[in-house]
Amino acid sequence: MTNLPVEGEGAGQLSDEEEETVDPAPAESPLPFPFVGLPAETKDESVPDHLFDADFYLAQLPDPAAAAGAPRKHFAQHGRAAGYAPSRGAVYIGDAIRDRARVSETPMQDIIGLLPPEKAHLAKTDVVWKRLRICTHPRLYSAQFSAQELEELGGEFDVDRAVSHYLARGANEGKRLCALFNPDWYLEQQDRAWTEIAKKRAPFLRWAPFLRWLAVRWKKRNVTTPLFLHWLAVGWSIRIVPTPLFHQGFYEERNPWTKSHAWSFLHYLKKGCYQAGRLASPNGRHHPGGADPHARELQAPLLLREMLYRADDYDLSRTSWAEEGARAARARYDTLGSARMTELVAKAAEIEPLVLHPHVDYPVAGAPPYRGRRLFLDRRAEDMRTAVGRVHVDTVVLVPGGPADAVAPMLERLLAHAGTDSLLVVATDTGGTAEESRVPEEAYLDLLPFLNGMEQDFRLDLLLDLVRGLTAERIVVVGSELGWELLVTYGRQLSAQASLGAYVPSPDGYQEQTGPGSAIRDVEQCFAHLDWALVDTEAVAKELTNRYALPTAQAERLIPLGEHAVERAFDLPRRRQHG
Amino acid sequence: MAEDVRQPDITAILTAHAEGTMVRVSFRSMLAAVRLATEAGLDVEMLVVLDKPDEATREMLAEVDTHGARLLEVSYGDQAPVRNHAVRESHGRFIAFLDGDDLWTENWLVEAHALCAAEPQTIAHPYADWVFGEHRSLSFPPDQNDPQFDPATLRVTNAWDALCLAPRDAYLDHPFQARALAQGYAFEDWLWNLDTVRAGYVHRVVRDTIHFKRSRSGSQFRQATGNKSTTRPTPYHDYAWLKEWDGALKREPGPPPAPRSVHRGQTWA
Repeated sequence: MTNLPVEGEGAGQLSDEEEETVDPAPAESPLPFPFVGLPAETKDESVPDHLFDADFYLAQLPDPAAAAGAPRKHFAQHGRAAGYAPSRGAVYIGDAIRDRARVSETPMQDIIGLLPPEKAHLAKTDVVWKRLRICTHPRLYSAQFSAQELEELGGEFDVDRAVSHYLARGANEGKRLCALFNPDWYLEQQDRAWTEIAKKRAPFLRWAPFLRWLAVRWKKRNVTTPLFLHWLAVGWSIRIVPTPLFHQGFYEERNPWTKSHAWSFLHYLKKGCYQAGRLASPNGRHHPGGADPHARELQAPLLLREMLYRADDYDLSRTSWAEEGARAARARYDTLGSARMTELVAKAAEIEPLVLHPHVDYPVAGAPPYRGRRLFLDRRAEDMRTAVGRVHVDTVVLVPGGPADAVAPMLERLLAHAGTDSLLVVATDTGGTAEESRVPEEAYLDLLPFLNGMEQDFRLDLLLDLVRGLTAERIVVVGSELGWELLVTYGRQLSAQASLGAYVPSPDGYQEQTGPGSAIRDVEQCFAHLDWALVDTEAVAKELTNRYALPTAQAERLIPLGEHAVERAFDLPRRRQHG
Repeated sequence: MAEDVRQPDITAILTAHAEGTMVRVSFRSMLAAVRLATEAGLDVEMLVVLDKPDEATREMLAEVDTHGARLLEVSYGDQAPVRNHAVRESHGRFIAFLDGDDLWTENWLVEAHALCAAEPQTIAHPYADWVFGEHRSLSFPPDQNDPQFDPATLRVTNAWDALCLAPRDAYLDHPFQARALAQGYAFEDWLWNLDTVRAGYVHRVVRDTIHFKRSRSGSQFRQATGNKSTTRPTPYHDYAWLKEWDGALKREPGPPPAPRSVHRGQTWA
């Protein structure tokens, strides 16, 4: 049971009609299932008033006049059996009603009952249900079920199934459907919002805190509405942002055009949360920076990566690592507003007035789960170290991952020469399995689970951490794009600690070519740090030697693949000694 | 130092090279903090160290001795040896560094000294780093005693800068290592943090204190970042050492194990 305010006509709220302005034509269509009448399971339940829309019903009939006098009676006697829908809202929640009917004899009433009583009339419209769908994040919803439960439910939820399951069961079980709805935050913001409304509607109360408090409480009633549905029906209309992960002023400052939208938070909900470059709050980025082209289609906000981090440590139905971090950062930020801090800043400003210029970057707090751009990276680095299990290998081979065809000749030679005990093949670009790469399981590491979602700089940092952590004596790039970037960026430092080598394949693996493939661009940038480079043929080696007019000592570092090629490469003296 | 001369509680060190008029702002900030510390009964030595200064900066600091500060001029062109030099010239039990374009809140010396004097082997950092100037941002350094803080992650991301207050011995035993941008090594403060944590020092945050850090293009930090520099390798970057440390922490929380020889006969610096 929760104390909740019922909606009033306070300043700043949106009417249900205005909602159409807010969301005039949702990109998403109504729930994509063919609703032809109410589910059979509901045949004994009369359609509740709040789910019957006479106008909508009559508009479907070939002869509306026949039912005009008593549309409900007509529906009960004829329309229901004929497969007509009682309202647009019923169309939207048909699947949920069907699902609920498996466990209840009053599925329609149950679902309508999820709405605040004062807003139950919205059930027949699509207003709340459209909002619900926009806010559905199936990956978060799925994460609140055990693997066994998910299997019994038919696997990970998609948007449609998540909506239906939530309305039929999840709402009653306290599950969270929306990553951008934090129930506790909503309650806190709601108190603030209603206090403000009370002040505006009764200015005299401004000077009487107790009376104002009383006025706010007066508007509260005990209802059992799930908080999320309360927000969809009430809080949304008065523009309460229900998550610590979004700050409206901050977002509008950085995305000024969103001010022309009725509500910038809606822009973030529908678009911004799927876009890597869109900062949402001054308390952190809340996602590791990488883009996901499928995020919007799957309704998987980028911040889910951090929200689901250490999921076992948090009750995901209420909060997450990311949300607690944002709260903590905000609390630290708020501390700066104390009287003592304000006084100290003012004194500093007497010496240097520039310190009072407003901050434009978001505040960063340094200890997890407090927010910082690199905190998620730090945690990932530790997870990776733990997952690797090994503390040293002699040779790290960086491959793209996936089928090994392009890099097979080189990989086979390396494995044959170095063995698998002291060698680790690391897939950096496309993931894949040891079997695909034709590498023994114990000598293979797929880095993708740690790199996914990371911006490129962070990916590089993680790979650098790995090769340094393993104190490898040799680092060999065999087709890995990230590996080449590692050598280009950190070749100077790595070459002081390890021998760096690479395989420079011919175009498309065509080994009769006399020229090098596209990797030559990377070779050019890091050849100074390479102890050797294996090429497909003698002709390629000669071509490169001529192209760069390499001195003999450097030309000898270009080794054509052939018998003992790897042995020759490994035996070459180091260009730089470690130290 | 003669036995009858009382050792200063703190040596406040201002380092500068080409800050021009801005260095005077920082000096004023130092004076304000020293004044408050003196009122609180602390004996504070003030040292101003110019490293290859330009004429404008030298002129701005020409009369610091009239405020009780000692002026030194060195020629390193690198913050690390400058700070090491300054430490050797200092006499305080604790050292507090201030860069020539930054400011402290006036309570910094008093509050940071109180923390470090009460808890041995403590290094004090401000509650907030308030960046102003070209870039404006806020950051809140972590407190090493925060249960959420994992020192192993220091190998990936630096947590604190060098503008802290620490026992003089911390600087003498763990001098800053010079940068070597051509070799790709920089971030002497990051390396110093790794060294001191490894030696058992605890980096703490002092409530109600702020460092105001001026952001300027061409700063050494910007150069190092743009140059894709890293720290020199340390045991922290070695999974084997980290694993030993994990085990040691589980057995008995405290300082991590001593540096060990690693592969190929190499010993970490």
